[in-house]
Amino acid sequence: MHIVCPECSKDHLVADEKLPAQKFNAICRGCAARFIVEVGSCPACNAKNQLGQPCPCGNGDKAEPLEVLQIIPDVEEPEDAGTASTEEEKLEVVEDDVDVPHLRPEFVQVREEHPLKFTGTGGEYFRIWIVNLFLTIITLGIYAAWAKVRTRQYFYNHTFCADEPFDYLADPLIILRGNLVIGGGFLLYSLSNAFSPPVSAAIALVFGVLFPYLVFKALRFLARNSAYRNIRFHFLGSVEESYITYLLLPILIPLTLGLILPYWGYRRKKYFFDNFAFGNRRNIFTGIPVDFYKIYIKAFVMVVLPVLVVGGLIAGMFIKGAAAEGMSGGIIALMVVAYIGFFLAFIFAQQYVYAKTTNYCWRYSSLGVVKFRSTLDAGQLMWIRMTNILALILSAGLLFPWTKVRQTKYVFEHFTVISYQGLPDFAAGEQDAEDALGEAAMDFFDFEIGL
Amino acid sequence: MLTLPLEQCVLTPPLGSSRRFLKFPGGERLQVDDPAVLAFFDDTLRSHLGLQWVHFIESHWRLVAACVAGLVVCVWALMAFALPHFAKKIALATPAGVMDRISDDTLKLLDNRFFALSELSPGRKAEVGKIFSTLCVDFVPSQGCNLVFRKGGTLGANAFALPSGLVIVTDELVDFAENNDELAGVLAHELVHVKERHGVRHVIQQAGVFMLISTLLGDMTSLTSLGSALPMMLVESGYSRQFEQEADENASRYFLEHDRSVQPYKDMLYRLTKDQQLPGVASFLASHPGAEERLQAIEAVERGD
Repeated sequence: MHIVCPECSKDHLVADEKLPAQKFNAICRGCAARFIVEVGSCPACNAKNQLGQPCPCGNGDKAEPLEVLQIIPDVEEPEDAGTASTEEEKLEVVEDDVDVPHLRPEFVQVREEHPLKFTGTGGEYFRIWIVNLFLTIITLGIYAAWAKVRTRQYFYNHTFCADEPFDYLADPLIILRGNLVIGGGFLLYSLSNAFSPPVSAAIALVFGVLFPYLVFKALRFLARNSAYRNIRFHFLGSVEESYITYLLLPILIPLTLGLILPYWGYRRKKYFFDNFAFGNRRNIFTGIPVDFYKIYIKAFVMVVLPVLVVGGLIAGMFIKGAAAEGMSGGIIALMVVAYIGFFLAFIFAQQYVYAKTTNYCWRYSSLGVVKFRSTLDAGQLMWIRMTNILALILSAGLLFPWTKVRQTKYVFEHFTVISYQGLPDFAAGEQDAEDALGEAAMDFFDFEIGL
Repeated sequence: MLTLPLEQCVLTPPLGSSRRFLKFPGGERLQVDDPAVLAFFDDTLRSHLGLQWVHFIESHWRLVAACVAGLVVCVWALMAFALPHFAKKIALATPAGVMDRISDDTLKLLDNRFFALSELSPGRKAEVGKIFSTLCVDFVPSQGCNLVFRKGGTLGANAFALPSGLVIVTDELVDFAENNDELAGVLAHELVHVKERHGVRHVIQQAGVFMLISTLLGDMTSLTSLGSALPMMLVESGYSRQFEQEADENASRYFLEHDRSVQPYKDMLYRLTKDQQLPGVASFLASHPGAEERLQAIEAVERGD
């Protein structure tokens, strides 16, 4: 359906299945105006159309892509949705409950909650992991593709929603092909790095330019090979958006002195959340950058304050130490403490941002009549992470399967799928083949596509 | 009612306690729970035979323990034998043109970062050059080699060998030597590096170790980056020390074969390294073996071990 902004007359094309309700608030990306949209239908061609607007019969395909429009859930009295501040206060108060005011009351009555269940165990995964490693080493890396599929499958198959497991369907041969290309490229890079710095710089540059494309491919591959109830997920994001998100914005970060860092975080999340689809149903993401700024600022304060305080203390000790000789032992001890403190504060800030943004993005996502709730807690994530690191160090890595299962269990079991009509029948979307180049690259360079 | 031949169906491979499905050609699937039915389909369809075999290993703790042992042995064998062996083969097959380019690039890099022009007198340079050319003919007769002088700056008394046969000696090192025999020792050491192509071998081994360690720790490194940096440093410094030891030993052997004393080289080595030994730096992290270890190894050569 075409939606025309009353302020700047910008024409946005929104897929019909993405329309959240009969009536909703929208923000124009052209001029940032907020306005109310009411869905009607064209008397001539019967297509959905915005009330009060002429129907653009015949030229529906080539309008602007839908990223230009951001839909916010309707509130009871749309007239009051006016200023941004009242809207945000509302979001703060209802933190723990997902409200779907745009849904009609008769659907709300059949609200069902399906918490994810994770049934994997450290012992079982240990055996899969160690056999995978052994076979990968003796086949000189060839088996890595099968190992990857097996690991993913294990984690997917032990994740249940409404008693049905998820499924990972990738073909190991396709992953093997991706691995060979990326592995070969990397070998070339590391050899040329020592032999011929200009060549390796050229390779790094090519990789940097290709990176957004590889992210795009990786997300497509991952989504396409993830399934639930035998219906696959899809990723509908564009290459252009990936280049803006993963090349243009990172270049702008130093130029803006890091001020767009939260916005970058927003765009990365948006790229995933606004573009994944289950079957033929696309997810709608209604998050806004302002909320990311709030989260990042809180995290920033949490790191910078302790660092300033501890840094000040150390500076004080240095001055004292210079006055009284022989204090060096104490200063070194204090520096170690300060370093650990900074390290912990940094990890905590990281976990805080991860937990808050993840919760936020799921909260402002809806897959048709299905909503989500993620209730990650930064403190608990921090505890799990620190104890996991300790366990890895003490066990020389052997407890890795246990730590991974533990972390996954925590994240998944704090995730709930909320449905307002029972889990609806999603239809499968069209499927074409996809190569695993991006997947292999992301895997190699430890890129995380945050769930 | 739809009938289709069983051969067109595929049973998903067994994986831990995961559910298994019979997949039909049209994309539909049927969950199969009954072990007897699963066994029947496994026997009839024989799909994913390799992965069934993998599952068999995974479900027996003894076989898993054997995999742990096998893994340790394989990793050790790869790092201790296979990788150095193949690195040597590749290094010996590396064309001279490639090595010339590498060396030119490296020299430019060192010049930009550390070195200044040499301030040695032409006479002294010629003297050292003469020692070098004699050694050069003996060590690498088939390959040309070159000696260049630079002021070492922060690198101090030092010598470097580049793959093409280019040996760099710092002014500080020439001044540090008490006599020409001491200098000959150091130059012989560097020429062993050239002869054995240690530089190229080291780079290849480094890349190999990186691939190996990232395969082993691939999933873990997101937790601790130090976790992968540390083992890598351990292995690399191990290789580096092996090459240094080989250079010491071969240089000593050369002097003994030419009825010359190894003592000047030992003296030089002792004076060069005694100041560098930092207390508390673990020897397994150092790129060169400790002074005493090196001297002992050279003495072992002298005794004819």
